[in-house]
Amino acid sequence: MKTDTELRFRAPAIAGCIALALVAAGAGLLWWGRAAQPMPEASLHSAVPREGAPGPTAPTAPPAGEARAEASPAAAAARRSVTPRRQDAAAPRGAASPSEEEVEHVFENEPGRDYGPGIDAKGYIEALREAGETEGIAAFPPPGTDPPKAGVIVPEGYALPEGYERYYQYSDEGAPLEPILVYSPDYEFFDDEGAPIPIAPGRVVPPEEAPPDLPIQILDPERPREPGRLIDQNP
Amino acid sequence: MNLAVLGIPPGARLPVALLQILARGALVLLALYHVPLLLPELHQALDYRPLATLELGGLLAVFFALPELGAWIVRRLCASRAWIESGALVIEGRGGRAEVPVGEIAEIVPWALPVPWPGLRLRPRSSAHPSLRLAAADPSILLELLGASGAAMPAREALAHPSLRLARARERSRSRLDRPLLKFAIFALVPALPLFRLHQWISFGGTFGEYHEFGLAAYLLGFALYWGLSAIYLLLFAAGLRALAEPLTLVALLLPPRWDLAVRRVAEGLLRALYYLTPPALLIARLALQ
Repeated sequence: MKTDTELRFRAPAIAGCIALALVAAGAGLLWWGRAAQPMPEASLHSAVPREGAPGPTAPTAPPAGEARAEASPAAAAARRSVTPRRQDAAAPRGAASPSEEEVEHVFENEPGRDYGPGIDAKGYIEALREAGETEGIAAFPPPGTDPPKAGVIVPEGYALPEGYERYYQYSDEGAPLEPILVYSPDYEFFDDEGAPIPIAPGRVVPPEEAPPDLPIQILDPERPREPGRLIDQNP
Repeated sequence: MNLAVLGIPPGARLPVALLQILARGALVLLALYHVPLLLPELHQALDYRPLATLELGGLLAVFFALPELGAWIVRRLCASRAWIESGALVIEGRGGRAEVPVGEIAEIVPWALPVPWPGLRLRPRSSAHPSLRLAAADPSILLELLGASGAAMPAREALAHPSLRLARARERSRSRLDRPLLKFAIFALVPALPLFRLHQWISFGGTFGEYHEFGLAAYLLGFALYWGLSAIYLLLFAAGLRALAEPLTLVALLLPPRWDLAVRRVAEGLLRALYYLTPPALLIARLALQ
């Protein structure tokens, strides 16, 4: 056994420094994990496209106050033929993210602060978001952030050809709009020459690419609507 | 006589001290963060956001468990035995063996701060012998050993040092109730069992509801979560109590050293009573009286 080597024993110092480095790395990971938490998506309040026939929550009658407009006959005549081809079916759509524990976050109205009688949800949500709140009602984008899309209305009972889907939307007031025609995200689309058809963001089908047997009626969500009412009340 | 000490090589004290300050500091801060849960007025005034279980677990893993584990590993590496052999102090551990004739010890300097552990430095008269840094739960035992073997003067001076007085009184007032296994793991069953049973009744309709509905694994996992979380909250509670009590015991240093042990025993007894009685009292107040 050597003598006086205790003074030069390095292992404890090295182990301590490694542990410190690990703690720093862990702290970095925690920080990074916090920073990378996804912000609420802006499209939360628009309806998610559903497959197949309308479910029980779908509107059973075209709501009043909704605009229809006939597209020009020229547009209907100039329709292109579109061939859908299914993509790799193994890839799941909207794969469920690993369940994260929900963080209960209660935003208390500041005592004494008056939000004013005329304020609507838009101003309130913006005020909440300015205060740093991102949950509760502030998880939703203010009204008007993501307006309903215009598109070709798919009438109820119309049998969709392969590769197309109905896209259900709701007005900011909560009134259901008629479904519009979108390209299914499960398919790629090709024209007669076999060249891929570019698909616009939102996958809304332009009138000239709609199936030939679909009557062209355009949903125009921009047109002023009647005051909103609760869904499925007073049809 | 053969004493368990920690031979601290140069360069090892600072990282371990940082690790331990980090670990204990994190506990105290997290304990502080949970105070508004007990005081609803604070809850409102601070726009309080409770930590989710996963967040709490992550913070504890990184800022408490990891540094504490690192400090434990260093402690294991430094573990040594000390004894007197033919007039020399012998330290033998993993890193080797060091010998200093007791008569050669010129000065014993206790560490001003007992971080990471209470410790001292032995300065030799000549450079022919190593200068040793030793730590122990109660270094005064080592000092008594040295004092009886011929280094009476330096040992007696060091014994009066506040950090050694604190360490000595603390070590001597330990009780079985302070053992971590009982204090955190077993005692955590006291709040965990009734709360878990209540949860089973509310969510699944019976004491073994989750077992009947989802199987043994789900039931045991649920119970482990309740148990673990209870232990974590008890750990934070103990850290908070300790952070309150420890500065108060510093006041005892103003009294003559013969009072050290009595003051410390009273303080530790009060802490124990608070620690072991508050959780059941809160539970009874919440479940039985409301």
